[in-house]
Amino acid sequence: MSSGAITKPLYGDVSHILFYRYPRKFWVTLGGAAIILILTLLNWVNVIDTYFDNVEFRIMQMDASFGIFTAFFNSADAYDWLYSRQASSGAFDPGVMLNIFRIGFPLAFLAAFGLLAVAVIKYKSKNFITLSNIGFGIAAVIPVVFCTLMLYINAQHNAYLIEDFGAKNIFLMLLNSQDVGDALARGHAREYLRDHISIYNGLTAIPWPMIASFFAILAMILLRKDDKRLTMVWHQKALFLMIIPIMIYVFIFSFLPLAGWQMSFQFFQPAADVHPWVGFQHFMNFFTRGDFQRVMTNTLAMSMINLVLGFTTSIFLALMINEIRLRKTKRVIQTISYLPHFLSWVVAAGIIEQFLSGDGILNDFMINLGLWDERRLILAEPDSFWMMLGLSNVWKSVGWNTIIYLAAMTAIDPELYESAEIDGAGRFGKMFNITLPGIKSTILVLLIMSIGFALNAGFEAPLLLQNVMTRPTAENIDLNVFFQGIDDQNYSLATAVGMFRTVVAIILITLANQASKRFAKESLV
Amino acid sequence: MSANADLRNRYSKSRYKVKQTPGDIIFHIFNALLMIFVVVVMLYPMLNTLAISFNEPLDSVRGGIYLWPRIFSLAAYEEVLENQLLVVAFRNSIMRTVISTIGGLFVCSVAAYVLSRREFLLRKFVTIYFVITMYVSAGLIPVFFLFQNLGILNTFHVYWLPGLFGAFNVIVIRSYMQGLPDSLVEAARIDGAGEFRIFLQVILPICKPVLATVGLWIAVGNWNDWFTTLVFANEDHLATLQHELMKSLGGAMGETSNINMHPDSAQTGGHVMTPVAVRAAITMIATVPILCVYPFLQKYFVKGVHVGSVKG
Repeated sequence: MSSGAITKPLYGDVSHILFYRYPRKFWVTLGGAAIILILTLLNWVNVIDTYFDNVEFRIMQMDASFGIFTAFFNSADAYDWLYSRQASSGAFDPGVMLNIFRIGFPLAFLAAFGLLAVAVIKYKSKNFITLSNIGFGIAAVIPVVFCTLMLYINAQHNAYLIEDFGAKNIFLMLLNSQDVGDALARGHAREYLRDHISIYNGLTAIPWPMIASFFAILAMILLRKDDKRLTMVWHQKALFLMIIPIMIYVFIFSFLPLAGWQMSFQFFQPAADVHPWVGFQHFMNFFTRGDFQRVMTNTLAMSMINLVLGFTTSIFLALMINEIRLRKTKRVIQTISYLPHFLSWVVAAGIIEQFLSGDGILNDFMINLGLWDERRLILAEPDSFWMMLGLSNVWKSVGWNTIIYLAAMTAIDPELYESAEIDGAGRFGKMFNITLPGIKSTILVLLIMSIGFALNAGFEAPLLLQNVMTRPTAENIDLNVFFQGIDDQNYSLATAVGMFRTVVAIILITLANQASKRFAKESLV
Repeated sequence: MSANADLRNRYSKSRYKVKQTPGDIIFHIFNALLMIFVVVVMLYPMLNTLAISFNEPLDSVRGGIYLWPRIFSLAAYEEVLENQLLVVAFRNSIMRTVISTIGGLFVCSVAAYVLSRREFLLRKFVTIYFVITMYVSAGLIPVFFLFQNLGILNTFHVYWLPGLFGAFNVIVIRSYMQGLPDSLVEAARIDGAGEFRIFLQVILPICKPVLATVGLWIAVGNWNDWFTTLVFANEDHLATLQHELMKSLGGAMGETSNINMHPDSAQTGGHVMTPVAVRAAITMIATVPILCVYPFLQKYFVKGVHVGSVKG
């Protein structure tokens, strides 16, 4: 105790908190992380502001890919502003202005990281080459390298755009971007850019500095604690190398599209230059429109019917399959019952349509038995659509769904059955008192989980089974999004409806997970 | 232990098998009837379609074909195989399935391997990062514009590139890898193997069962997919079998099929083509590959599904 407590000052003022409670390194890292966070946010705002904007797309990504501070100077407004200033004063060259921003801000960026690195290195001056310093160096250098690289590629591409292939030197090209500005001013480049949205543009539009900064922050969070962690990172570099490309991939394909949700707050038209912000107008439209109630009723009814029918039938089938004694027969029956699961919904829908059609086998059967007086076109009856959909789902997935119950049943201790038999329990007694309680937690978990998906009433099945006659009862939220978005090209409204669905689903799943934790002592997520 | 349990089972069976009450017998008869019903319901549609596909096309329209073709004919298959669009569709379906399965298995198993290493620093963070993607999806329209901006809209890439990663698949493979003894990795490490080598030469070979299951899921998902073609790649040279089948079903999307199916205009070798026959033939071609594969992988399903869905 005494050896450890060295110079703890007696007074408890600010300097005490600043310098003694937390080491200086903590504040340095915190400050660095904060700077990067702000830069990242700025870049993010910039990117989402212009990401889906096709006309300004190329112009945006010329700058967005490196100039975090240039958020303002990217946009059409900026160009307009600069050119209007030039027109009014005559003494102001927008090209030079832009070059200042283009060169200046990456340099500022570099300087910020450089300072950060120096601060850390100075702090640890006694052992200059430590893992920590190297780590900081890497964290600082990555975004800057990315920025510079993107700068270079952009400059090269700009040179290409204005057909100036002579400009190979990076510094020359930076100066050349003035020509791009001129081309933009003449209005030629703009058309050219609009016609040449390609994979290249897509790749450079990804906010690489943002991703890089994200990993820099991550590195700093790891560094905050102690050097041991950094040593571990170094030891696990192969694992990091394996997972980071996948994380970037997941970011692009799963998280980046979320930026498109901004469309639901805009009046979005793909060909338009500007998408005016409309606030919650699309949501209000959706909620107050006549078919909101219908769509919600359809969705909830379908998922309820699917839930009830799906659970009862698959548990029942699992219980019955479990009673089969011949092992080979059991396996063959299981294999056959999985079959529909592997059919595509297209094939399944074809089969179901044939089965239910006017001259289908169900009609033959019912009329021969005398249950129906005349042939019915069941798939053209709006009232029976929910039930038909539920039964189709049962047919397709009941066999597959038994797998999990049968697996849970094999885990039940056979001694329980034996002692029950000795106590005189019959077949059904064993079923209800041992088998069902044995798979209770499985059932509960699955049940809670599917309540979380109450708004996912399926997409493929209703889309393929519906027709003009049954549309009123068949249109659930997913179909609504599809019809609105793809058929009617009402992108903003479709995005708003999809966003609503996802947000509600997340809330429901979170609640379901909490419930599952409490009741089944098992977390789903 | 297991020998003991075996003995006990045999003992208990011999003791209780004798006492089959009439109730038991009725139950078993009922159960057998139920199972026959299940088998018929699951199997009949496929056999019926098979019979129609081999029947003389015009004769099929009369109906009344159940399990055996009335007039045997290969005309429907000839028609399908002569149709250029369907040949292209068949090739595309196979290519996307193969590429997606190999690529997807590789990506998912790499991710699963990293997450299965307990010492990995960001294990929890990355797991949550991946699991979020299972529940949060941006929706159709933003994804459409993402693909447009990436330039993969209406190219073959849209078939394999977006679907390489699947959080659920990763979790299933990870759970399996976590069940392997740690000593495997440690022994390999002592022998001087790097992470990539351990992954490729030690872990992957013993993960065959789970890789087979997940590979089947990915393959089936890709083979059965028609929606991607409909929305993201609706061009003739990118046709897929399932999408052509969907068009031949007609109705649903109000689209007209490119396959010529008017009874009086399409004549092949003296046969008159009918939509029913062509549809049956495409259905069989689109279904048989999967039906040939899945029964052999059945023994792995239980493990994969069980581990995956409860532990999430």
